[in-house]
Amino acid sequence: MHFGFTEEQQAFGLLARKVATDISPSGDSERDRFEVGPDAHKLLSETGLLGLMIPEDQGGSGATLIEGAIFAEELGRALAPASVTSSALISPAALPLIRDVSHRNEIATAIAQGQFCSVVVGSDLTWPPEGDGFAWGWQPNAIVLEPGAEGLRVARERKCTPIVTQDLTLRVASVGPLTLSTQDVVDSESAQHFQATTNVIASCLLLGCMRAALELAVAYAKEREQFGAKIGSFQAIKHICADMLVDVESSHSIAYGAAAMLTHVSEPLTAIRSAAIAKLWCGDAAVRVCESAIQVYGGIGFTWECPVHRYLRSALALRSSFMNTAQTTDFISGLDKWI
Amino acid sequence: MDLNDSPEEARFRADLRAWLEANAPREMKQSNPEEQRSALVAWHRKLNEAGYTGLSWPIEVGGKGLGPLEEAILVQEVERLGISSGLNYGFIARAMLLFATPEQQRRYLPGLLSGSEFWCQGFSEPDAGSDLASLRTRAVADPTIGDTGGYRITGQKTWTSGAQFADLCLCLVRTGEIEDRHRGISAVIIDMKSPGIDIRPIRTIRGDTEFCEVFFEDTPVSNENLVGKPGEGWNYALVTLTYERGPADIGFVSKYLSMVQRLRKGAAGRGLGTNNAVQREISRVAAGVEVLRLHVLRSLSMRLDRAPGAEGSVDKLLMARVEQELLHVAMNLFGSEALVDDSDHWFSDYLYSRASTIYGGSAQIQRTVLAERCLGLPR
Repeated sequence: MHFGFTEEQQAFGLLARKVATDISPSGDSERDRFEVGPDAHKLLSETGLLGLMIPEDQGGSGATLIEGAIFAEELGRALAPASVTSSALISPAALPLIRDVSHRNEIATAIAQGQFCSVVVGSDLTWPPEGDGFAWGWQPNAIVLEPGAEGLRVARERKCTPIVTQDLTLRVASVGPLTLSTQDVVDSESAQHFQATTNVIASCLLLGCMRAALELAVAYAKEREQFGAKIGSFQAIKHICADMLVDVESSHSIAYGAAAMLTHVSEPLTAIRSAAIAKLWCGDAAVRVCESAIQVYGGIGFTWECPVHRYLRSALALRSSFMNTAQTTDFISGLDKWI
Repeated sequence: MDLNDSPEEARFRADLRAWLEANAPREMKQSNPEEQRSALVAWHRKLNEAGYTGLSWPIEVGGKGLGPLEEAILVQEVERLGISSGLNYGFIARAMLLFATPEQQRRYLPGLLSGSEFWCQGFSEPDAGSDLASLRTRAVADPTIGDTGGYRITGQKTWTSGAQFADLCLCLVRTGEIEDRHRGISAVIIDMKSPGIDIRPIRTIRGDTEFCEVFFEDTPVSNENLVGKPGEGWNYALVTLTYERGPADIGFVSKYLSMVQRLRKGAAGRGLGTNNAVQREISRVAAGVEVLRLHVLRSLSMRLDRAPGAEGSVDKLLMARVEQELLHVAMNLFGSEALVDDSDHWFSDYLYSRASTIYGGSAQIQRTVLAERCLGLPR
């Protein structure tokens, strides 16, 4: 029983932070924000981070969800394009839902070799999709995986219409109405596992968002002066920041705790439950922390120039993605009838 | 990073479970506080005889030389049964292990472990609450006390839990000047049978008398009972407070888990088992308890590498948040019944939850500690 990173995981965290920062946009243009350019793509391929979660025999690194979670936190902190999250973390977790093994291996190998990939969620960003579908974290030439009679399959005939969201890291592509029953991708054990994995990944992205927002707010409070003193010396500001820290550290505990429980499973339902709790907790905590950061900045926090709104936008999008607040609470209630 | 038991931990847990099966009392709640206390003491002594006290203390002083995670397993397994894990002595012992002389450790730790001597802690005073460093209880040197001289203590302590039962008091006193603030404070062990001590129980918001006012008037203490050097009492206080009332040390996670189960059962019993709004509210507090459980496990794991520091205030604030939200939901669901007939203890537990943002350093003090010592905001 031990809750803490190994030395290898700490070293991996440093690498992940460097890469996540290097591939993240510095500019404001739409193309910069959503797409991974050739240099960033090269870096991702060279470090093997796109294939992080792909098994070694298919050309990936075969890392556990704990490393995946560490990478997700750094992507969230750096406001990296969602297409990286989608290809490196979400899509690999969805691969077991492709029933045809050779087809599944083909896509796994492609991702490990640098292919971008995107999973179709509903137009409300949640999984499993009903009605119209959105490819989450889409970028041009990405493979799109949609639910069908054979589990998950490549959407070959679909016209993808890009849609920019209010989250400056997230672009989706509308793929139109989904006609086939999604039952196959809902009830199986691999479907449950996919849902739990996306919950953990989203939780860690949210964790990265709120850590960055807290660091920005604290740095500003140490610098900004009013009434002849740094505003960070006022208790009113200190206590806001302390509450932000409680949110951030408790989110770390539940997000990585759930990652560890899913990695070394002893009771599957308990692990799945903790992953849903992580999503619920981190979603609310991240939005609260980003809102508090805007408050600490004051008027500057309300400007486009101040970076905090970018984190708030991501936090809101991630809170609603895959499993939203109402779905997570109902899911937990449903499980607690059995546990 | 594996939250499952190692083979050694699993064996320890299995042995403990088997022992508890045969030895744990079914029910410890007594209507009479005196009986309640004797039940707790009897249970503590039973745990001690079976070797389940002082798990993480060094073997030389009667401990078992195990780690913080074995302590956690003990608390989990015992409190899972809805009973207490014994007398709470860890916070006094922790500072004694760090600051007391080997003679003092030999004299006091066995009684602390076995529950043959009861302790109370004299920290707060009427005018020294959050500002503990302004405490005024005087210790005046008196060379005529004992063989080696000592002090005479005069002053008043308050919120002293269990003073009415205590044999010994670990007390912070002022050996220096008031202006010296924390540098003029020393820690002494006072025999509660000494002359010049007056104990007056305080009736709490719940109507019980968990703590007392304690008055000292020229109470003699020998130099042998000074813990550490004169003027070093403040370090002692900091260590004690770190271990005193965090969720990792008092095992409240199990208590909250059973409260959530009681919430679900109570809701179902009132025909609210399928009410969506009620279920969502309960799921939210259940989520909070799971977050606290994992956070505590993380904090305990960190103790394998180093002593806990200011970040413990996160644990304390998180615990208070979870507890108060839980009891708010309980009062919303069952409040009207609890106000008429509190046999389910919801009203009493609700009132108790108000203390969680006050004791062991108020929530405001914890926030200031986090802001200054963890986030580095200017003083």
